Amino acid sequence: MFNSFIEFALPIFKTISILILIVAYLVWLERKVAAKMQSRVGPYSVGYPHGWLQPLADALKLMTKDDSIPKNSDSLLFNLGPVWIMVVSLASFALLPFYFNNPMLNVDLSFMLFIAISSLIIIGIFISGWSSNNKYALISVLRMTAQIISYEIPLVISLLIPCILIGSLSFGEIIRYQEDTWIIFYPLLGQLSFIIFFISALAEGNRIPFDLSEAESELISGYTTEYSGIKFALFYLAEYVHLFGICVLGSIIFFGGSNGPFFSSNILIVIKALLFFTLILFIRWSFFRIRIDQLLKFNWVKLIPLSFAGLLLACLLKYYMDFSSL
Amino acid sequence: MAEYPFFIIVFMALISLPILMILTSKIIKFIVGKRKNVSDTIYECGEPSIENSWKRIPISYFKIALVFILFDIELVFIFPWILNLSDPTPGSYFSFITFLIILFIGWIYAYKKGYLEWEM
Repeated sequence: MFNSFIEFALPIFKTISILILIVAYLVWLERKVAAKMQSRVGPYSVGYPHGWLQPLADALKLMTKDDSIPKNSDSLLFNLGPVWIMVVSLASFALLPFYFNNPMLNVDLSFMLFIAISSLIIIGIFISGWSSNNKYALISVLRMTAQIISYEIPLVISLLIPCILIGSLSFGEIIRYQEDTWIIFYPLLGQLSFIIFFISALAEGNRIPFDLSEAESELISGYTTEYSGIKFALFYLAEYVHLFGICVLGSIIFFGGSNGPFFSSNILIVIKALLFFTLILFIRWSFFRIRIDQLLKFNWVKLIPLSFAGLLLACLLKYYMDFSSL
Repeated sequence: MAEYPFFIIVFMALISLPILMILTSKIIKFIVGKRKNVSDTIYECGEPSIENSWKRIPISYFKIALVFILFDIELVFIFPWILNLSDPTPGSYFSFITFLIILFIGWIYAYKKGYLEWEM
């Protein structure tokens, strides 16, 4: 009984702790890269080589901070919001084969289940912004909802194009297919779907040029305005977990997952995801923010027809490959 | 099929994580000592906040949500079609292309009606 419990609990515990560690250092990495691009030093004084203890110090500081609940807010939903976001963004990692050998949950429809779980995050964001009864938070959360649900359509379609070419919805199959060539090197369709995926991943992860919900000069800090202390830390952590999940997804579907040029190992998934994250950081510090009407019009008028054209092209190509000999 | 009950255990572990973090924070604050709390008013750049913020919201957000539901439901139909591709027939491709054409006619209708534009 006890042994089987350990067998169950150990992979869960390992994956969660490794994930939290990686994500804590993603924040540190972001601050370091930002400092480098602006000719600053960045976090330096906590921990000897280059302030490597900074994430720990931040977490400890936020834990001792006062945890205030606004007077007129809906306190049940206000407390539920951060917990919901954290649980949902971590739960999508149960399906990704990112930890040493296998995913925690090995099912045939893992890709579909991943999409289903990770799109639940918007409910948590909405209840936390709405329940804090703050006008800035409400505006932020309305923008965020419109943005995330709109960009979900091109994101899913751009990921379905490789799935059509492969003919499967499980991450294991997708990785096995890319042993010879990665999807990104597939002529035309690979690049087209990667560009659509990259743009909508920036919007889903709420990054510049699509970070309208936290536009610092307009809305104080978006839907997290009323949150303080450990609940703010939960939001901060969950945002990076979600973004890292999207990076891992990109590295699995487009960059061959655990297949490498010299050796094959699951550590390559994490390395590729980190490189992808660095690319997002470079974009963050070189672009500017766009307006909400531009954001939605770009999605509905340009990105969605383009992704449907890609879907049609993939379908015709697969038809040609299957039936050209007949 | 055997994996799905396992997901409940994963879920329990994940729920316990943020709750444990909040409890740890409460314990630390109990040890450090409670501050006097005057920060429970709504943040509004120094002014006291006027009225609730639970009011009517712009119609454009509703329109976007309606168009989203239309496209999202049709997206769900693509998943079972992909699973069918392991044993393809010419008919499965033709039916899918017909489906895409009908979807695109719907998009043209929404575009002509101006539902994809932002109302100021």
